[in-house]
Amino acid sequence: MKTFKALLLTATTVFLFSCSEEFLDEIPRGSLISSDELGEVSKVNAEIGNATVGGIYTTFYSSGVGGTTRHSDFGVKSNDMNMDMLSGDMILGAKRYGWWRWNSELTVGADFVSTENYIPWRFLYRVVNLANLVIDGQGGTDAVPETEAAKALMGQAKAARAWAYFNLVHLYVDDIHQRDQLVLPIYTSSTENVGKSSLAEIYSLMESDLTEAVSLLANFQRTAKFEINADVARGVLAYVYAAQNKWQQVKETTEAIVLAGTYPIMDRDEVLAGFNAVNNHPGIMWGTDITTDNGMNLLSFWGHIDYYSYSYAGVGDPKIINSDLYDAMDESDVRRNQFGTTLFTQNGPYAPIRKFYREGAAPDFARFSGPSSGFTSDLHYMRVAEFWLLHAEATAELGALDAAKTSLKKVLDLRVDDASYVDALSQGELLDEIYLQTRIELWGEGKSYFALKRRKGTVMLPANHLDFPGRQISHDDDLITLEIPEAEILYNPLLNEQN
Amino acid sequence: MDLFVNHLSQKYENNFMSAAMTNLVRPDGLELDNAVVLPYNPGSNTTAYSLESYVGNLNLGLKDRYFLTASFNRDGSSRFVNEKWGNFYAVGLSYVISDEAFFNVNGIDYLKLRGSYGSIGEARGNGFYPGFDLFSIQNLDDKVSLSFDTKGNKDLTWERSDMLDLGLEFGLFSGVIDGEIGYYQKTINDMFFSRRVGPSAGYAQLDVNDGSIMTSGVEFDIDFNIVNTRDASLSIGVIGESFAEEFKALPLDPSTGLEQKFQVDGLYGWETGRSRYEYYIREYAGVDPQTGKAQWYMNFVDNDFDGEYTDGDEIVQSLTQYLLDNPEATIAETTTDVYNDASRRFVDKTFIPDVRGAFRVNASVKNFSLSVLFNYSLGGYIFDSGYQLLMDNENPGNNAFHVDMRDRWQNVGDITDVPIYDANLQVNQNGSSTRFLTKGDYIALNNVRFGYTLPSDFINKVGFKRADLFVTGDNLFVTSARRGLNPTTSQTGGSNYYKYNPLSTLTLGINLNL
Repeated sequence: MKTFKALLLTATTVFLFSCSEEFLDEIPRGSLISSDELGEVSKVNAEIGNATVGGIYTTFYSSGVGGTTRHSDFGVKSNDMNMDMLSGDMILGAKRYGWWRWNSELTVGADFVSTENYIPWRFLYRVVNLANLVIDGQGGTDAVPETEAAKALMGQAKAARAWAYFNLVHLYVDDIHQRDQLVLPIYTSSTENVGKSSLAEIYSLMESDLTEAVSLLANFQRTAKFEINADVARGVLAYVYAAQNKWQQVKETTEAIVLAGTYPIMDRDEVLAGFNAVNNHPGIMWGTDITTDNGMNLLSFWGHIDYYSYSYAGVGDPKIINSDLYDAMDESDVRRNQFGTTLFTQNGPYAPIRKFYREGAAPDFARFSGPSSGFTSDLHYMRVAEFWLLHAEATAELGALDAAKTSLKKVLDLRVDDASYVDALSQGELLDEIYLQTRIELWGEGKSYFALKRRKGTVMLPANHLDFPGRQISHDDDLITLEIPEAEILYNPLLNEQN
Repeated sequence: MDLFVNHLSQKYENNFMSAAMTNLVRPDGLELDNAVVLPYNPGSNTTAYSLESYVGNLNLGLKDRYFLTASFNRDGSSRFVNEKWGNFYAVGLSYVISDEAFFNVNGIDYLKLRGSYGSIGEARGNGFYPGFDLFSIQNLDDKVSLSFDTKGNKDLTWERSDMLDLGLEFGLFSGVIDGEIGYYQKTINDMFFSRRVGPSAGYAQLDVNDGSIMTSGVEFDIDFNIVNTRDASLSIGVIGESFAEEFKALPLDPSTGLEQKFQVDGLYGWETGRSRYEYYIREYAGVDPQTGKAQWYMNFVDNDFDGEYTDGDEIVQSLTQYLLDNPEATIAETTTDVYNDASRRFVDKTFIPDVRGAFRVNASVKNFSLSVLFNYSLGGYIFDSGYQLLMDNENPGNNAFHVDMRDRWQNVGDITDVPIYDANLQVNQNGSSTRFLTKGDYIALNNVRFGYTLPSDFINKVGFKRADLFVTGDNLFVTSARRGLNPTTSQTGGSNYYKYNPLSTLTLGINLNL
């Protein structure tokens, strides 16, 4: 009996000092927040909805979004650099540090094990998933939003999703004109792994997402240039149509952008201003104003391109222009001045030292004059000149040569002294000229790769190519298209075949 | 008998705050207000977890030869969301059989049998908040941005290990031999498992409780006291273990809902019946004497049954996976100099050694004493990434070379194991393959101590009670399959760069007692 009492007393004591149920509830209190708590917080903080769309834009320029710590992993611009190199327009000038040599040596497209195939895949599907999380939060991909705020969220998310698929199609599909082949998984909500869909289905999803986005964003007034508005959505849509050579739709879509006159083409001075301040140039339609708080460092576009800071370009690995492309520029072309000679490019004025330079490098242009961290130079993703050129391309394809010449000259009049030579060109010559001007105007901006693939062009590696000068590569060659990364083939049970 | 009941609450909380200012007025001032420039934004955060346990313990002893212990734990952890609580128990019995009147065996002075069975739980290993989908808060042009960061699992709960332990402790021949031998079998269920996901889902992994691994092994620790007199002693001790591990079940495949048959994890392949550490890599087939290129084995589906790789035959990149998907396929083998065409497959090698442990020697003669400790490991293969790096095919000057590079192929007809050096022209020439699997055997001299105790009559005169002179050496040498390779520096024995070898130290000292 005595023992029993002792036991009872012990038990009572033990449970008396039990803690309340909440004792075992812990949630993050810092820079991470759980989705459960977000649901609660969104009731009192109206900014949360926008913030999840903001999460998409943050990944565009953050390093490591490709799931690695490699110095070639920093979102949109690392993709753009990959694409410009694969299309042979951007040449790796030296291999002292060796970043990007996989593009120069053409090894990446032959090596699905390479991490460089993983990075863009992980990044772009991360964007797809972020967009889907926003779309799921608005009731799913088929929901019809009622309020202006909901329309803005849905429109931006759908456009971002289509933008990611557009990049995936170009980077991972050898021939973007074979519509029946199974190529990539489609996710229209945040779900577990699925298998491949056909290229036709992906084009159709992109078109419907972007068409909806254009109408959902009709009344959306963005507060900063990183946000996707109706014109940016139209821009991506124009590219999607162009990839399928649907020239009539390209013509109509690009006209909706350029004829409104909202965005003047960057003039002679602007194209020499460094492309580092998106808000100074109305011709830039989409881009991010980078501030010190973004913590941008060496792992960035500027860390690889800017010659004036302690960057890879500044200490030995310049990224230079294809010498044939440079030589094709008219003597009077202002864009010749975007390029020059540096310590590492003695054999020609090929380094983009006046096209891309960090904020503050002008007017002294002194080497090592800037920081290697805390960059505040901006990133741009889209500008209006692209759509004048695309409009010219579409109308030329449709046989409306006068309209095409007019649009082409809109750009050229701001670049060369006399653009009247365009008037004499035949349709074929005109299309070649538009393609050439597209490559020159948009050098280093990740656009010529799209043109290469949609025009079924051929890469001709120039004399200043380090590894394969003189080599010709077709647009659908495996070598200049990435491979589905090993991790996807291993861990996605529904996807077992390389493209 | 004693009984013990306990309730335990633990809370860990880490409050972190950081702020920096530059351009100080007083050079040694410690207050932020003493400076004027804010170089970056200040920040703070809190991480916390809590643990709650109810514990019951019972110890029973009878006649000093029968012992029973039993325990029960109910543990709750804040790391889990839906399933916070786990119940664990253990029972142990031991029996000193040599104390029994009927036990009368010549030479056996002491004999104890022991056995226990029980379970324990593990909550750590998944960070603090593995249950939640987490978003990271960032500044986007001075607006809030929330990016998806980590996929969480609300059903994550305790990892449970069931352990059976049987043992024998003994003393033989009046202290000449004593030691113990044990056998254990440990099964981890509901393992914490980072399930890899095809990254097209938007995340690359998900923490789950899944799968089961059984480890069983024998351990022994025996001392032989060979000489034990007033002036001299010599004893030799041997410690060793031999164990095997195998998957009893692989995690579920979320797409099919069935148990996975096979998974690749880094260099390893996982399959029921094999351990976590079975190499699943490409198999090196030496150097082509004509071209100097590295070659590997390639399996292919021999669609035309001619035994040769010809048009229409299909390359098999992952042999085990392929055979699971296509059990009827006719597979043949050839060699290739394209690394990515070579097949990954089980090479029936693992890093788990046949036996590993230590032995020690203690000896003394009069005032001199010597003790030596060796570690050893036999059997098992390790992946020598350090060697792989030193044998790479990068541009000249990128890395140092191993001396084996002297043996590289240079002329047609050269017979060697080291391929041509062509600065990455052969893509992935030094990609991971059996070329870099190296025997993991080693013996290491861990510690030696040689001592001399000064004669006491002399020492007492100087005013000390006792004085010992000694020399000790730690980590004096290791021999392994390759010079410079020290398999003791990582769990799997693998080598890499940025890795420190244990320091070799030599100490000379004197111990004085006042």
